[in-house]
Amino acid sequence: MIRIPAALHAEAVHHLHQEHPFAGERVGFLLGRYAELTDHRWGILAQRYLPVPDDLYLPNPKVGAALSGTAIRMAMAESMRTDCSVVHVHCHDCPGPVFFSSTDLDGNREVLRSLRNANPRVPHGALVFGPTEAIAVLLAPGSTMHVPSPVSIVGFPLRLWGRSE
Amino acid sequence: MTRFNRQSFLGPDSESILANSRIGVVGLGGGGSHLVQQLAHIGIRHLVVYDPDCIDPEGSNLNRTVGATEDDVVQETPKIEVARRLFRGLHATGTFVASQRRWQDDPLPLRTCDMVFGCVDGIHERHQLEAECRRYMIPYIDLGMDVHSDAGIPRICGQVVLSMPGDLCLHCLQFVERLSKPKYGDAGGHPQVIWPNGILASTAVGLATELLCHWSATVTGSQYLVYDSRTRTVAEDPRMRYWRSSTCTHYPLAATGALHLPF
Repeated sequence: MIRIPAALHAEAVHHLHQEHPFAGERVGFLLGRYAELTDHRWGILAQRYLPVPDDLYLPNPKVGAALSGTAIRMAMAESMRTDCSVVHVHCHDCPGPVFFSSTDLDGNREVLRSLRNANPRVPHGALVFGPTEAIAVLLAPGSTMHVPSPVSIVGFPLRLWGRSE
Repeated sequence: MTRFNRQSFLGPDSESILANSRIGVVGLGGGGSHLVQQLAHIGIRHLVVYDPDCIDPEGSNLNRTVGATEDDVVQETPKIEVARRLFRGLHATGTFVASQRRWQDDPLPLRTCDMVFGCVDGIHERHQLEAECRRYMIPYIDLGMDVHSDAGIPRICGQVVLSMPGDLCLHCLQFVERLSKPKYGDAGGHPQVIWPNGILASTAVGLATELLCHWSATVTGSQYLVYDSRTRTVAEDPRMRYWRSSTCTHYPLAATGALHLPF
């Protein structure tokens, strides 16, 4: 479960939609506090947004966005410094259902492993925003599995994404 | 044709939104029992409920606890079982997490809720419940009623308050202060009757449906709605027009999440 205040969601999406000099997509990090739920389930309550500066992208025409090691270490340092959970975020603006691409899945493994190495005590995640939906995974402390996570945008309306009966 | 065809005006995705929402109800008395019934009817399929009490063996709950029967009086049925019966009568599947404890003694299920209704007594209970909801970024809807004496004539008052994370809270709306006033509830005998509970519960469910489905696009911030038996109306507290421009400073965003790790 990842909960994001509506104003923070708007801030993140606004940044992620800015054009980059050469990258096809922008990337950022939502930083937040963890929450223990039932049955060893975890949640992340997003509190602020950390954009990746323009100069921390690497030119790579094969992917939407490639981050330098410095960008990842920036997020790792925040997690260590403030004991926060980190959620790697970017946007897919295609209409219809949102999903992680194969590139995203490979990237999630690397990023979440790095974040886990920095702060293994808290959950971390990866999330893709679509126009009307979002998809996310959570890596809980002590686990090796990337578990699908619902996403809530807390505002008007209250948007509950990534759920199914 | 589904059972929800008549509420399709709530939006094309309303049925799935309501079915996939997880709603908490704390307190299953006069207000909470109404809420469980209505939430089940509109298609909420995942409920988390709390109430440590049972149906009173003297039958004093029967004038207002929706779903309670004379058999429940004899058996002193826990209120969570009355609520479960109501819910299961409408949803054979779906999840019904029930705790016959105070939520403070079993808080984890509450944190999984997308929205919480508080039907509790007293300032402190409301304050604690709102604080927990704010800590976990959960919209909180408080409702309650009481009867006070107005020149010797009973007057029923009630409220539905939507405390939205990031927006005005019960303190901002001076609701906590209002409950502290001596006149509140001075009609004696902790009066409770079914019809104002029904009015308030219906208003609260309407507010929740608006928050989830945004079907009328008229709710854009915290709400403070008051019921007055004298005028037989539910209306926005007139002070809201002054409060709307304020910012809540009681629950900063930084104060969300766990206070410490569980291990």
